[in-house]
Amino acid sequence: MKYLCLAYGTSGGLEALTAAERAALLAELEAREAALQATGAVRASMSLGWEPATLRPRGGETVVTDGPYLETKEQVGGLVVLEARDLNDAVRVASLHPGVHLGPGVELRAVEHALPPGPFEEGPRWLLLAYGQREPFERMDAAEREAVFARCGELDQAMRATGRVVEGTGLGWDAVSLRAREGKVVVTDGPFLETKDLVGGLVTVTARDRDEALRLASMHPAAQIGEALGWAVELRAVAAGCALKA
Amino acid sequence: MFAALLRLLGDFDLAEEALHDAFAAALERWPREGPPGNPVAWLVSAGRFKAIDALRRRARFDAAQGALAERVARGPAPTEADEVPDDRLRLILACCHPALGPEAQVALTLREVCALTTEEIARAFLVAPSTLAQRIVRAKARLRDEQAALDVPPREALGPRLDAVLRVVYLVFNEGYLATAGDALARADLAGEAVRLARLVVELAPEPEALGLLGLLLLHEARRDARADAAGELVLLEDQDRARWDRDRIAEGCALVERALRSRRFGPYTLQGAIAAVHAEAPSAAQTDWAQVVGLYGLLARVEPTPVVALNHAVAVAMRDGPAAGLAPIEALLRRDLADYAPAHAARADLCRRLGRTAEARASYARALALVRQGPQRRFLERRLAALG
Repeated sequence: MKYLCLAYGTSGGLEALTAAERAALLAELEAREAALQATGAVRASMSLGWEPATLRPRGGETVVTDGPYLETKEQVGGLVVLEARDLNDAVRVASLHPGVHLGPGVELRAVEHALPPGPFEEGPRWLLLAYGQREPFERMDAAEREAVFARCGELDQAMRATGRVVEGTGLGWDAVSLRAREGKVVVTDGPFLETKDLVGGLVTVTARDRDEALRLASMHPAAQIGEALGWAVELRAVAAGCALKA
Repeated sequence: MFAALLRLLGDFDLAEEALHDAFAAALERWPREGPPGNPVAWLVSAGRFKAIDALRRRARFDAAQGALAERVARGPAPTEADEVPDDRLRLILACCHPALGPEAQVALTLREVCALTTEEIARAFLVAPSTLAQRIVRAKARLRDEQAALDVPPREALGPRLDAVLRVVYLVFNEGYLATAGDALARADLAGEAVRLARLVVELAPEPEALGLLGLLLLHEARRDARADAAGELVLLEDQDRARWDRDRIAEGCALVERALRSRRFGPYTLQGAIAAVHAEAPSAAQTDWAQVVGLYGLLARVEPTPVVALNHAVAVAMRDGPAAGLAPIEALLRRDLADYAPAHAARADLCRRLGRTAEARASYARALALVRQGPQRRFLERRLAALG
């Protein structure tokens, strides 16, 4: 089974540290990262830039705004894909993640499906975080759900036809969160943020610049439909040097 | 192997990681150097060294991990003569540790002893995987704090803890045999795991009650196919096609129960097994030795004086002496402890039906129906209610 570990972070903060404190923090970060990698369970990882744009479906149009989708202090700052026997095995590995100890914490989600790999044009990478709400999604009846899935399939295909889609992943709603409290890892049942909006899927694309990335993001199903399901897409630059290594 | 690593390392997560790393090392080295003479001992030893390495690496940011590394390094090294059966017993005893609640004991046993995944256990108990994962994380943390739990010589710990182990096996079986909710009448996987666990316990500790429990489970399992019709609907014991009962399982179950009874140190599981054996050996419901069933329930009520045992005793009395004889004790139970227990209402309904007291039967079936969540049981009660006209 594959699990996605969403690491939360807050922008800034490092400025307030002295040079020595910063060096110590980076050394610990490096040591913890090495301990996580030594498990052999990490299949891919990615860290994200902090200048997001948000795309929302509104009355059949896509509305684009600068800034994150969620108005929370903590934002998704990085992703790690883990290979584990089961959820508890993933919790064991994720408890070594530096974000649990040095950041606000991480959220673990099962990877439920992936877009089949296809050819794509290389270039700078961007991540589309698709948000949605669990409750209205689960309230849909079978026919409604089928109609939504069918439309998603068409939109996915159009997006992939651009030759810019690297990969795509759908996540289960069920979430486990890990935080450190007084040096101990605390595991809770439920998403990390207390919002109704959850990351439901991820798509990585390549684009020369932000404008091109926005054009690709606007083709994502969650930017086109699903207004009643709370759907939206947040566009994030993938930080240089941390490209996916699936 | 896992059990041996758990003993050497004293921590579930550390042992799981060590096992994983040991297999990875074996995959890398065995093809090159050829497999070792004693692969299990090699893996245990490699796992222990890998764990020490990992802990020392983590000592860079967590001094406590360094201290733990040194403790493991100074601790006993694995030997080829390590008693594997005792390690497995120790693992079962740890999972059924009295510091854990029954739900945690069951979840941990299924994951660590039966090797089911978090997701499989969650599906069987109809809870979210995240809920079950948290339960398991807490149980492991509790055992880490109860370090002594893993250090006890298992043969000494067995006596006082056998009850807890057997109860966990029984709970797993019950959940598989009679799902409390959902539409799967018999969750065969869980029942099968329970039988496997009971066999393991018997192999490690052939105590009379362990034999009795395994016998009881086998006798129930023998009737599995006959308990549901082609449409998956519930079929009562008296209406089951006895030709579909599994004779091999019945023979094995009866032999186990007899062995337990001969020891004269038996308890409630053996007595329940003996009752199941009487049913299993009867050619039909009418030809069942009801006097013996009544007698066994009487004995059971003495060692386990619970309202549910009293209810079954009353039902058996009704079978021996006629429905009127069972009605008064069942009604007394309904007034006291079993007011919200669906099978008690269903039992009263059945006796009223046989006595021709249709209005009362209808009221009791309706009451039972209001208390039942599981699909096939609900539909069974609905059919009975409809048959009353």
